[in-house]
Amino acid sequence: MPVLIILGLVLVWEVCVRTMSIPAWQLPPPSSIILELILSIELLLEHTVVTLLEIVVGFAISLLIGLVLSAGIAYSSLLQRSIYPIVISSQTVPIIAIAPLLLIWVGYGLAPKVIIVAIICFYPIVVNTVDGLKAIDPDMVNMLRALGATKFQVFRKLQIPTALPFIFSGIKISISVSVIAAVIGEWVGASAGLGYLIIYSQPLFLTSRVFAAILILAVMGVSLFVLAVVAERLSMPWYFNEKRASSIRHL
Amino acid sequence: MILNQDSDECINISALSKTYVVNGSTELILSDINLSVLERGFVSVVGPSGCGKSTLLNIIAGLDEPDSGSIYIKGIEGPRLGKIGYMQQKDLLLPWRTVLDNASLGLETQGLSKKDARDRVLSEIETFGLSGYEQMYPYSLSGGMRQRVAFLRTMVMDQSIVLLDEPFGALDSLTRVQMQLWLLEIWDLMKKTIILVTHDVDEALFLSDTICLLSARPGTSAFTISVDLERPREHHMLSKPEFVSMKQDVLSSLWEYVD
Repeated sequence: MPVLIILGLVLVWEVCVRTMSIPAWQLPPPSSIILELILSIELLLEHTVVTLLEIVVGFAISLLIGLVLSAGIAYSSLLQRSIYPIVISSQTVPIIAIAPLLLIWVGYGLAPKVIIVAIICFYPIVVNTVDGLKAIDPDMVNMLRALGATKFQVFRKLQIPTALPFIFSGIKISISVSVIAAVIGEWVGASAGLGYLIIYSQPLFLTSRVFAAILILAVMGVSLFVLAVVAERLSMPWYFNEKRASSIRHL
Repeated sequence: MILNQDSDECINISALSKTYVVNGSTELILSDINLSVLERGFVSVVGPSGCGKSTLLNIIAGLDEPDSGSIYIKGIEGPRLGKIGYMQQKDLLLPWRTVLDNASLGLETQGLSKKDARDRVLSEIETFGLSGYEQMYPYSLSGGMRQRVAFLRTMVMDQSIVLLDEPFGALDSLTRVQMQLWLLEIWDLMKKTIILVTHDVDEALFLSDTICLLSARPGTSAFTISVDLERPREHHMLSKPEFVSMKQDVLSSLWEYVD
């Protein structure tokens, strides 16, 4: 269904541009964007790899640090009171405003973009994971304690699985915004990447190229999201089967 | 049935009391509880709702400590957590674990390897009527089946004492009767000492050697009745005159203490 809607809109776009004779530098028809995509595929791929690398590395760092920190926050009330408020208030600082500083500190390479992606991905992961680790049923905890479980066993056998759906919600939000983060990072200062290509092509009125880059970014974003959903399904089959079973029961 | 006179006292609780702070005011939940359970005995704790039955089990299991009084398990007063089987009202199965792995949970927390725990569970799975269900997840099981898994998880451990908190409360009456008969079999087979909390007088009479009545809040051990019905118990006994008269006794003293 969404595919049909998009195809319809693209068709309207193509027809409008052609009948109203809008110049291509202003709004190119979809056909010429596709043509640009094919002709400049090497150039586009070169920049795609850079942006994808920024996203993947930034996201991975964020996930790793985020999960460890969340475990700490859920485990220790001291961390909960000291670190957690900082994590939450850090979200109010506009990242775009920090980006120029990062350029001063770590240069124009991959590092500042990776850091921006990591900072933006960090918040949804930590907030969701902390909530998930705390969403345990106290009766379940008592059940485990009565079975002689240690605090660590409760964490591993109850808290982590309970948190898993929450963690994946965080991951899905993070991965959706990570593409935006990488583009912002490249706009502030870069010599490669799709965001850089857009900023570079715009004053040259290579509008088809701008659109081609946007198209790739969109596909990248959707693919990363789908990847997260697949990982979610694979790691918690019980969760989805249970949801399906209960929805059938409620029919 | 008269209890085997050779068997020793397994659990001794004396003068136990417990208060909780509820909304800023301290409330006495249990007061002067005395209970004695013999080795391989079956004792039911019966009382009106809110009399602190579950609190009593929590304390015996070691999840909570009494304010005063003593609990001796086989003559020893000390930490009890993990040494006593405790099956709560809800089945509390972990939704991400299969039947087999849910039942293995307690053995795993005791330090058995996953494989050894599974093997141990598999050797008992037949007895608990769960063969063929090993790889199923809890959501696909009926209430009675889930309860069996929770039973297996509790019973498969080497703890000789088992506390049961209204294990059949959520079941329909037919399944309930089946499960009661089955529990008696398991009890006999696995040589356990059982304390069962229930508010079903029929159930208490049908299953136990001794019934301990608790009064309404604060719960006090008001009354102890020994159930002199022969074993094995069979369902037709429920309509025998001595059963009916015993039920009358229990119910009338229960009414007396509710007020």
